[in-house]
Amino acid sequence: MASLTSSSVFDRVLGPEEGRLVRVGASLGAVIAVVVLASLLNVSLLSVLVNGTQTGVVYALVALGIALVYKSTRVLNFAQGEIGTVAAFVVYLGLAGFDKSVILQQNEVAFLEMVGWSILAIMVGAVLAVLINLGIVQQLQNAAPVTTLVATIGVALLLVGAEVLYFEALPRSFPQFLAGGPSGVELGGLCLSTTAEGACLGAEGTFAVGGVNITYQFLLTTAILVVVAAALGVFFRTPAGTALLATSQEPFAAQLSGVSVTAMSALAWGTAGAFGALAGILGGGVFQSITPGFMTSLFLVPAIVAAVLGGITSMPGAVVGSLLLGIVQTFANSAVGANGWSVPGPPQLATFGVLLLVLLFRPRGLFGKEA
Amino acid sequence: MATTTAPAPSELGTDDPRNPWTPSPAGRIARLAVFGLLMAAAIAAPLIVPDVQVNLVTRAFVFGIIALSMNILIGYTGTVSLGHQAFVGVGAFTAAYILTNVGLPWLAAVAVAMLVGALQALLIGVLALRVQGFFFAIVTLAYGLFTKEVVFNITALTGGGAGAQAPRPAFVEPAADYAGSITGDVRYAWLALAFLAAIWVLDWRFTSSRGGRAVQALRDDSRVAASWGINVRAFTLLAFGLSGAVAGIAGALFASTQVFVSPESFTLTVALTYVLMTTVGGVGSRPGVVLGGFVFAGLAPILTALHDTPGWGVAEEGGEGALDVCATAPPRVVAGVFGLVLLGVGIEAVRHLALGERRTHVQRVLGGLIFLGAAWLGAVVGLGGAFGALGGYCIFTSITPLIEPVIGVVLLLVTLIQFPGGIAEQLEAPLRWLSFGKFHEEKSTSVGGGSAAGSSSMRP
Amino acid sequence: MSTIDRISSLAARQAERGGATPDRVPVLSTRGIGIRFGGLQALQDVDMEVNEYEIVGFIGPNGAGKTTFFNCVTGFYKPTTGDVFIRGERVTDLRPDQRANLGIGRSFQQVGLVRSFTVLENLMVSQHQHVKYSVAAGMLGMPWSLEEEATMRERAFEVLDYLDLLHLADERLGGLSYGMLKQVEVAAVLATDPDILMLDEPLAGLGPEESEIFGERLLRMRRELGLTIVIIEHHVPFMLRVCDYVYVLNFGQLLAEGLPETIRTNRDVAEAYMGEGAATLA
Repeated sequence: MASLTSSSVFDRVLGPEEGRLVRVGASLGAVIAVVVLASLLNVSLLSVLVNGTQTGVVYALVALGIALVYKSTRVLNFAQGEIGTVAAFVVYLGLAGFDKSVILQQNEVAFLEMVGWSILAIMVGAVLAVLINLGIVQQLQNAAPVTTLVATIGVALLLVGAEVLYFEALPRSFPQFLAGGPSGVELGGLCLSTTAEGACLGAEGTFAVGGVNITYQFLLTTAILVVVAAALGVFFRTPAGTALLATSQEPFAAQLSGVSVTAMSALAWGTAGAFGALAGILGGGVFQSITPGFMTSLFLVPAIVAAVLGGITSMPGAVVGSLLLGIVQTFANSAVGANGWSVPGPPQLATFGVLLLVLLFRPRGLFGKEA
Repeated sequence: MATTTAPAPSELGTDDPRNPWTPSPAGRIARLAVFGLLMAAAIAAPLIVPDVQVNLVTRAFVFGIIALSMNILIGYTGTVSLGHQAFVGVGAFTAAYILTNVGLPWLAAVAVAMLVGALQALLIGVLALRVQGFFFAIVTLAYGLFTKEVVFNITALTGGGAGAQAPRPAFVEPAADYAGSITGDVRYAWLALAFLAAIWVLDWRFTSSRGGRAVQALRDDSRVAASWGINVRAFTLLAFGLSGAVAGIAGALFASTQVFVSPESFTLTVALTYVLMTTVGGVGSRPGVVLGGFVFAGLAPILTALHDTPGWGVAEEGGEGALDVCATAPPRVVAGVFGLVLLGVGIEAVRHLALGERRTHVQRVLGGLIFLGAAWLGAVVGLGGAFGALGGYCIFTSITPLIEPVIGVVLLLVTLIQFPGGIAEQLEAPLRWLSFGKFHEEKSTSVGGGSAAGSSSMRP
Repeated sequence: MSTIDRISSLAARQAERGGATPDRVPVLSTRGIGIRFGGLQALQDVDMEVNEYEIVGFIGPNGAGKTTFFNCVTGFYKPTTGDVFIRGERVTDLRPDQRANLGIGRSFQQVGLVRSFTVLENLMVSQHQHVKYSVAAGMLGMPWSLEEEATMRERAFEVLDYLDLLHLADERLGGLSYGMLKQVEVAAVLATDPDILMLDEPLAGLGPEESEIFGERLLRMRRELGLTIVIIEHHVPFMLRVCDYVYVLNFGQLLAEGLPETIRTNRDVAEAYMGEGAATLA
């Protein structure tokens, strides 16, 4: 179904060099338009940026896994979110001393204990993903792509079922890594909103930048994302990473040069599973509560869309797409909220809109290679 | 019909491909008889089931139509649609709007729903010309969510969260003084069956004439198709338009089944159900996908009945009431079903080990049927449980049914790995027989069984 | 006029051709074709003329731009510079399917067939542009559509018979060897009823004897079906024997063109192919 022209509109109208100039111009124009739009719509841009990034960062961790799996095995893994839920439940169980009737209190959870259980949960996530890869995805190598997609949907449902089986469909409190910390710290000098006592707005465990609350958990999540992304960048320069890239591009040639396609496929899934687990543990912290299936119902679809925005096979693209999507969704919500419009479903509207806009101009995503 | 002076079939050798194999008169009668029985079963189904379940049969027929619509996209064009619930929903809300706000007759409402369905599919199809493959699948995913959350919540058009009324046509309602056993529900089920049959025939003709062939050629290689003079854009859009039109009709029928339509009927879960039923049925195979549609149509309602919980649409934001109902009545039926499933799988396993390659075709088909019935029933019930959980509804609290989601999905996965071509692959031999071919194909040149599995495995 | 009509009214066609001089306008020509992919100038300033009933060959080392040139001529690439003409009419802006309608039929370097169809079904789809009944008539199973389908089937069988491929009619492509697939592809292209047949490496997968037979068949097809043929092929002796005129591409530019005999003794061509110092080809 390949259309016969799929290069960027700019590239076709102009040469590639001019196209690049236009693209930079368009990006600048978009930024200016957003700033103007924000002031017209009474939306606090800073607050949108911060809150949007907060969601976007979790999207990004899920999206990285989806992109990695797609890049290496051409499979859309619908179970990517649920691996995270399982990991979150592993951490929950560990912290609760394997007694699921315990209600976790944030202030009773030791930071190091949580880190320990998280490391275990991440390993569980990686093993789980490898098992899915070996047990199902590799068995369906010759089936239609949609069959593999359905199989991963099946895995997601299986995991949800297993969680319901043990934990029941009830919300359970879930801790953040860093909930405490000094409160009311003010950075940025510009304090738009102050409390009655004259302090800068900032609840406990947060500090305020220009009147916007920022939690320490958010800073940690962002830091983790940066570390993960950097580690991935380094990984792709190691021999194993190069082999993985080679396998994804030319499986047959890679096999001829002694790379095991099976092993590479499992490696990619395992890494993605670890990301998914990390996302689950941090995602649980966003709402400080977890239920069976929460990663799938809250984060999976936005993460898939974000990965596609970024070009699906590009890791930086997945991160940029996630942040963009988080910010756009938050912007839409704030714009509707601030003006009292009765527009139903602003995040979905924004998601569809931004996806259309990006793909119409770049049919293979922001960072995708033009075919 | 032949206009040229080709040699008469009798002059050709028996192995000449110009002289295709046809069944003997007896074989012909046998095939027609089985075909007739199947038709009779479909017609009799609404009469046989208890009155309260007639709408479930209607729902199965409508899901069959939806599966055919999905099949045009997934099977013929190779485009995965993850937002097909929007296609169906647009038809449903259009029909409801025409019926209640414009007041046109029912058939006119169906026609408008068909046109609007085709139109919105064409708009999405225009995107498919530029955005392809995986990227396009995700566009449909976002389109589905956008339609459900935004478009279907525009109160002026759809009644918003409160939903819209979609009365049934006057001609299916029995006269006031009518005292027979054929209720309006049964007549409506037959109406749905008639639509299913008509669309089936149209779809069959489509695939065996120039339009369908061109579309399928595009799926395999658009460059080759273009080199043969096939207009890539026109035929891509044609497939989208047809799929949307069929989905529009299905939506109109769906709306009038419950006489009411609400945005909650078109969630992401529903879209995934459509993908599941098409894949499980066997992408590219008409009987396969329709059977898949039938099986999955029963998913939510059967579960609801088994568990004696409130209907899914109603139990949304379930609260205390739903929980209470949940906690009651350990469903023995489910335990029974699972006993059967395990029995079926056991029998099939023994059969496989004991007979292996020496099985006759009849044995193989019988074994396949047992496996099919057992595994898919288990899968469906299990999937229903898991979907319920994903929707946040409380369904399981007692011990027995807790195993459902797990076993069900395990069965689904095991079966998919065994038969990537789904139901169509499992039933390949009898289906071929029924369509006036040989029961057993000597030249097993087709790879992977199901037509879709075969085609995709050969794709580079 | 359909291929089958030609086959069955062979005598008529031969009578028609006897004495008639070929068109003065070349049936297929290009002027100054150039195409650039990013920084790579894949083709530059390629002029070509193909007269009616000629067999014209394109040879050149791998990566010389032969297939790219085919793609420009058949409409899959839009050349950056230059124009393509069919019977003197400029077609540079037409889509591939529109050019197919003007009588260009082509094969692909990787086999250009519908993989999920049987051989017969492939020959049915490839007749697409000559089908007269509408899509709607086909869906409704109108009598005339069924009649035409039957005729199409006959034609498909006749083309298969003509190429001695009849025994493969009901085969699925998965079971066929590469060489066979290439032959089936030629059958499918022939069923599109082209005036100009463009073949991209048709000998791939064929042994020497089969190549021999294929060469004979090409000459026969040109004679009996009145085809104009353009071929890309690596097998130089074959090309020099079969072709009326040969173009040599190297690094995206025309290195030489001429009658096979001139090409054989062209020093530049020999060097490009055989390395420094070679004086003649083959």
